Amino acid sequence: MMEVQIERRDGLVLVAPSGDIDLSCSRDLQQSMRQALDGKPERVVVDLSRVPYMDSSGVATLVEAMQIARKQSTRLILCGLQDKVRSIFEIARLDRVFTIARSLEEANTA
Amino acid sequence: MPLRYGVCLFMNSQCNGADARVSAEDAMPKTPPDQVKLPDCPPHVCMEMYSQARYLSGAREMVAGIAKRYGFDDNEASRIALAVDEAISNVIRHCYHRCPDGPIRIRVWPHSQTLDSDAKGIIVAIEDEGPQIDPDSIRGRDLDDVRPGGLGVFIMREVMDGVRFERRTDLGDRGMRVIMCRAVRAPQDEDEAKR
Repeated sequence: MMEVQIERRDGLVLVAPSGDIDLSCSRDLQQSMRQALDGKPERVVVDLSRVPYMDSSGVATLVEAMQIARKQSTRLILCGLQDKVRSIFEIARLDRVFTIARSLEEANTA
Repeated sequence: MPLRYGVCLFMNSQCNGADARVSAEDAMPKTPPDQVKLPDCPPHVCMEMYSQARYLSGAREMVAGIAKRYGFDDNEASRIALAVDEAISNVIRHCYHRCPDGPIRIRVWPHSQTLDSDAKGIIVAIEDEGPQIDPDSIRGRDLDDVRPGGLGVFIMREVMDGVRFERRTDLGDRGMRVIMCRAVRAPQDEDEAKR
């Protein structure tokens, strides 16, 4: 089962899902992302270091979040991508569309 | 045929893969859809599930586990499982519109000449019992069009050597099938694929 933790501090919202993200839970992530973007924070960091697997339904959720973020001038940054998750972004050529940081520290300062 | 359980799995101990029409050579990248054909022997493994996304992880684990036994490395096996996940997710969303009682069947064959020989690849078929549509109307979206959704078919075609959508002929006017094949790469093929 996937769980999502959301933490807010000083204009930054940290979204940290854990578990596989597929069609069974991508709507939960969608709700969390909308909640994180609510209030137009300056920066939203999605820490994927505890997500071992993601399919296109999870990617679609993040694409939607990116579009909302761009419209409201929120900086959306992904970080901590594991190999299998990075792979789907590469297959879909979305690794060049998202801002992807190597670590949470880098995402917080990027 | 209604399912008795949420998920049903069987392994075929009788079939030998000698009659498989798709050879490993046919499956080298990229196999035209008209050359991706269902083997005419029973599958080596078959899993039946209801159209419920909670069973996706089980289907992925089954396919990845078999792919590893057929000679794929961890990375390749997870990519094949991803393609199968995308195919099943498409059935759940677009064929059964998330209704939880639609039957889905996943069938697996090795590319191999005999039952005991090493597999040279994998053939997977995902079948539903929903309304039939024109197979040519199933397309992946243009990647330049960055928007949520529409990635599943693109990923299936990108990951597998060959992908073919077809109407089933065993259920009257119902049921679609997608057949996907992927050959085990020799190390030099992998190097070329990464370039």
